[in-house]
Amino acid sequence: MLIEIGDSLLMLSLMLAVYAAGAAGWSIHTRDERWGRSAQNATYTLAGLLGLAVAILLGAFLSNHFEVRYVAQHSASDLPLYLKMSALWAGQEGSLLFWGFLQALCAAIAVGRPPRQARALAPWAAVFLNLITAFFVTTIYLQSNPFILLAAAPPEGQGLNPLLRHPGMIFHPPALYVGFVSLSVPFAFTLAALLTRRVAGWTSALRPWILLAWLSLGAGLLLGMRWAYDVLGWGGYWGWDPVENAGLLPWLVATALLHGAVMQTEQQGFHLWNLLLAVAAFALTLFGAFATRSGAIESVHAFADSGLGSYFLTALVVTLGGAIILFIIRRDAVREGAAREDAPLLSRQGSFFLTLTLLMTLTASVLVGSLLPALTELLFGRRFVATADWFDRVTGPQWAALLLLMGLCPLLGQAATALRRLRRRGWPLLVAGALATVLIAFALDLRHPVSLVGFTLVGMAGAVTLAELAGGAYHSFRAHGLRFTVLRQLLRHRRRLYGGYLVHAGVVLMAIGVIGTRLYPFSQDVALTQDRPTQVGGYTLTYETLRHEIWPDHETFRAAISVTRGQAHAATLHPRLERYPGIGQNVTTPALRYGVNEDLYLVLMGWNADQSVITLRVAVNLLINFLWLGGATMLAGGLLAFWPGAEKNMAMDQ
Amino acid sequence: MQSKTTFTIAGLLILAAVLYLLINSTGDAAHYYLTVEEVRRLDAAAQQRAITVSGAVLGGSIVYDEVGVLNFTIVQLPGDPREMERAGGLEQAIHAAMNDPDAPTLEIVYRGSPPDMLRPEAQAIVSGRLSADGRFYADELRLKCPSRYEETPPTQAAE
Repeated sequence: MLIEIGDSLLMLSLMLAVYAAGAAGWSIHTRDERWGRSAQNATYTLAGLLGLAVAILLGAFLSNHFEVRYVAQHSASDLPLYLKMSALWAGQEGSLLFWGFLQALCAAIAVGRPPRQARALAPWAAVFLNLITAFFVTTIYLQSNPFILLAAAPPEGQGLNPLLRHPGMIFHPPALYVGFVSLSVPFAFTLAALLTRRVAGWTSALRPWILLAWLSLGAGLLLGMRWAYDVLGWGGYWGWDPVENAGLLPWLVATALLHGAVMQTEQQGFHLWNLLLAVAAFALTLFGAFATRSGAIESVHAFADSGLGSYFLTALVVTLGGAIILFIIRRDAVREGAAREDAPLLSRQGSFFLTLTLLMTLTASVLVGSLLPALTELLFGRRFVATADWFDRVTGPQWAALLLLMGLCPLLGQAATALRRLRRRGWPLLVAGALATVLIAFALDLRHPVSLVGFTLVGMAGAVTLAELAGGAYHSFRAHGLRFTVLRQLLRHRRRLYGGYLVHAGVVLMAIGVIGTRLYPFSQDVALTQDRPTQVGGYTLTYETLRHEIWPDHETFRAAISVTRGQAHAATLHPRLERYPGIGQNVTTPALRYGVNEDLYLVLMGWNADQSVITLRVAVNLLINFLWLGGATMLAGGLLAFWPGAEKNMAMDQ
Repeated sequence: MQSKTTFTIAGLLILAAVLYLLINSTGDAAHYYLTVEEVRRLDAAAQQRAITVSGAVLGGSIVYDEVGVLNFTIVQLPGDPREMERAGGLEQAIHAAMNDPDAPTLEIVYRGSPPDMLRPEAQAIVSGRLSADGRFYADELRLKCPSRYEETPPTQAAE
């Protein structure tokens, strides 16, 4: 019964979305406020209806309604509560419904509380946001309806893929979806700005949305990386898979947009950049949906080909085509917003320009890599596929250049004084930072030439970032005394600036982790005989026991490996292998010994008949914890800048 | 110099450098991406190069010797997405391949444990080299499951 209501809710939502877009459009045409209010109310109701639809599906999961096909396919009655909840987005239909709901919610918030400086654009934004919701609801209703009933309810559901039974899977997909939908707001306001010829001065008003998108995409990507590392058992965290890239692409553009917004706030032009970036960011979320949900792009974890691809491809073409036409029609208005003052390349403005350019070439490179088979077939008639090595080689130098800019930029002031400032206080910092990290690297016996270049850049960017973070605090303490309240004042008043530098510090830390893992990989397969110590990767491993446990739906093999380093016993690790015979699925769970310098990562590969010999894959992941630490620092910095209240103190920043 | 000119030149230089990286890496670090049938037809010279081949895992062909060497056979799948669509999508194409006794096959040898998602009728994307004995020695295995669980998790890659 409830399920049929869910189905009608979708139909109702579609009509309401079309109405809301129409009413908002009509309010612009007639200048009648009542239509505008009606459109607003329709937008709120729409979010409520889709929220109800999600709640009904969630209810069906919690109460084991296996007559619903989607529930039967992704749940079972013995699944723990948190997994039943996360099963909501484990498959295509549910995840798309959830995405559609978030889209409507985000439209309701953006329409209901438009940013102050962009209020005049809100009616047009309401039109576009509701059209986007309408697109999602149409797609869900026609191609991906989660409320389809089975002719007969099976007694039990098929269960959730054991690989997805991980707490990280609760947060990873919603975080990405929140990021995707948040990017629709800058996009809608961009179109509105072009239509109304108000191209200047509103990007900074949308900063909270851009930052929200950046934060949630970043959190989603990091959770995905961590989950791959903890669960998938191949020793890595990033495989350059097209679907991973689908999350990375909008994040890169959101990063560029954040920087562009800073420049625009400082009145240094960049209007055109920001308009284009806002369109690109949203288009890339559609591309991501297309990449994941069509068979067209070779990916490991695409959803089954379901005809959805053509929907998203159409939306992508309409979005890009429409935006390009709009840009051409309004080219005079766009030109007005162009940069007015001249600045040399070696200035704050110049370094932001280079940063944006590099972020966009990075985005383009990752996009080309994801599409390489199709592109090369089109151009050369032969299909090539980009390996992880391809991505590392293409993007590596670009990441390095960005790191360099991150070190230089804070040293450069406004145009005229830039070089003098750099000469006066910059060089000692840069040289000291570079020397320090390179010396540490030598002390740790890390001498790969490319990594030394990397460490030099890390040292430079790290020293400058630390100096900026400490410098402000130093001046305040000197002026007001060394008191906690001073620190609190400082954090409150310069939240954006400090948030930004904290993010930069996080990036520097992550770079250390990437250099360590990518340039000093160690992975070896070893056969261990019971009770015979074996040396590998600087550790002594001893295979002690292999325990076999039988569970209702699976069996577990759990090895006990004693690890010693030098003379001291370091840990006993338990890599395990779970077999789910019913669904023919194995789950290998790695065992880790975490360390500051490196992680020891053990994967159980197999054993001989009498279990006297086991095979392990042993990986030593150098400096990987800098990656996680950096990721957390980056998110903390983003949160600090995002935290409500930062808005009011904008004047203090400048 | 006028800032606009400097900016344009700098931007173009970056673009040129990235373009160089793209072309250079595609020549060196990208693999030929082939179907089973195309691999079978490779001449001796092309066999020197690392390639990536995609096919469907043949039911019952997975053999793991429990100490580290994995063997399985993959069956020809259409390489062209449009051809795949004509066959009725990935799932149907795999079914058709399984039931076609004349479809080209390729034996894969991989040093490593079976990835969690390796099972009959999964789509395998395998990177490595074709050996003179006609078997394909893989150093990277990626898997994609068309049915049952629609969303498979990020990157079940093994290296």
